[in-house]
Amino acid sequence: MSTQPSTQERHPIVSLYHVSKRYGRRTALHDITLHVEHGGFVFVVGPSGAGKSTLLRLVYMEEFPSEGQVTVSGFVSTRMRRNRIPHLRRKVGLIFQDFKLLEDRNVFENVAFPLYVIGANRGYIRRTVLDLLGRVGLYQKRNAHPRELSGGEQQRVAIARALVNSPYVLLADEPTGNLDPVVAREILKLLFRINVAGTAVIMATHDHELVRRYRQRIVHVEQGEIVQDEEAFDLWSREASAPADPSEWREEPLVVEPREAAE
Amino acid sequence: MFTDSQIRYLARESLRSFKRLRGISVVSTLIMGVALLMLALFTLVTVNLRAVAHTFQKEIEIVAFLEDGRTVEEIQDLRQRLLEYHGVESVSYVSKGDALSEFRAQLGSDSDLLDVLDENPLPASLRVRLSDETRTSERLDLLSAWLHEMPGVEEVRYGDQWVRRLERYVHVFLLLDLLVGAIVFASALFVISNTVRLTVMARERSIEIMRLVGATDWFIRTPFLIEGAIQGGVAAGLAMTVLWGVHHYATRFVGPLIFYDTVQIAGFVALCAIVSGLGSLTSLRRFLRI
Repeated sequence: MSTQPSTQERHPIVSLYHVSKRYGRRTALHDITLHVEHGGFVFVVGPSGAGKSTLLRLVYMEEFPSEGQVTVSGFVSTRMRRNRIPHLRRKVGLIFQDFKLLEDRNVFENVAFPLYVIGANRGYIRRTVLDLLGRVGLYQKRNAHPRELSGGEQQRVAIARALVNSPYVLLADEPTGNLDPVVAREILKLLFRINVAGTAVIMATHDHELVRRYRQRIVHVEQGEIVQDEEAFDLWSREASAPADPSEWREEPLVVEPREAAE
Repeated sequence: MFTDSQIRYLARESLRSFKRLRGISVVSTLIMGVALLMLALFTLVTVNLRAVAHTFQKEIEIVAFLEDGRTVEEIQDLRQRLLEYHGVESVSYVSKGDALSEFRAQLGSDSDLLDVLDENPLPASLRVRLSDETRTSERLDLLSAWLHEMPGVEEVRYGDQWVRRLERYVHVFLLLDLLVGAIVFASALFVISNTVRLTVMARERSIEIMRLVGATDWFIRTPFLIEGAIQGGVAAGLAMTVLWGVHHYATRFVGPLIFYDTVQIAGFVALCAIVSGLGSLTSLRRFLRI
């Protein structure tokens, strides 16, 4: 397998065509057009309230555009029936700033939750979850409860949960917002590993400093509009001090083999 | 609709949430039980008081005293005409002799006094009862006026003062009963719907996460439906058990009272289970944004 993202498929897994979103008279997003390829990685960067979260919510179809159209791997927002949304969600991994873990369940149960929901059998759940916990380094903590974990560990639980259904795309809404810089970088590394294994990643963050040192594409959003779209290739024009060699994470892609999960 | 493993998961989940939220489940079931007890108690008191009022009303009769010396045919004819009168349920003939022996029985040990009389002073009479629906003071008035005009009728009595008072009391009672009933019913509904909402809110986060990881609406709803139904059923069962105890205790003091029959109890429990289950679904709507 090649380690170069540029050799991955180039047709989009997520597309927004001239998308606008208004809440009453307030415009959250205005005429956004954005394509993310299969296996692509995009940082969506902008200040709080710029519309980053709204953009992600449109992708996992918690919201629908006022104008334009969102397409996620064959799911089209303008033709989306309500009862199809769960099927989309099973192919879109989600992580959030506040982790959104079930406090009354242990790590294993939290990660297994999406598999219970789709009715996977016990053996499959056990294998997949333990395997995944091993890969994110939480195998030893599988019986711990979220409150017993650090923020970084909780986010890794959330990431494992997001990956358990082998999603096409992982959406991360300020995943490092509650974490200190060192832990934040670890989480980023984990996201890169996931990406290298072939899962597209869209990560929204207000922390430009955190992401500018990496090679990935950066989409800048301000006041509901895309003001700049720095392709990954532009990275040489970024500061020379950027650690341009992310080989440490490339050695160990975090693969989740898509399997037939349901009985 | 669900696969086997999903059904197993849902069954486990419905029971586990009782354990997980034991405090909330127990408290809300108790609160619901108390609300339902109030409702059932109120209904039972109403049913019993109505039964008492009914027995009083049943006692009401019109007595038409007949002139002496009327022939059997004349009396038969009058009786027949009365029976054809709208709303008349029964007409019984009390002869002079019957009246005397009744009076004797009433006097008891003092009945010797009657021996002084050399002839029976008591008149024969016809006693008229009206059916439940027609037994109103207006109708009694009409009928007694009509009877008064009949040949051979000397006097008509039906204790109109008493009837009017009883009628007024029953009327006021029914109105109050309806008012209190509405209040009790509304508060029970309010308490129950809030309790259900509390239970749902305790699980708001898990609902949100279920939606985000792709649970279908019915997968999210089913545990709530089952839990709500169990809670409602248990609460209703508790209410009935306590009420039965109260009934049993009260019977010792005021004599036999009406209690719900088996079908009514089963119906009550089933209805509460259904209402509570559906209530849980309704509370979920906000979180599912349907």
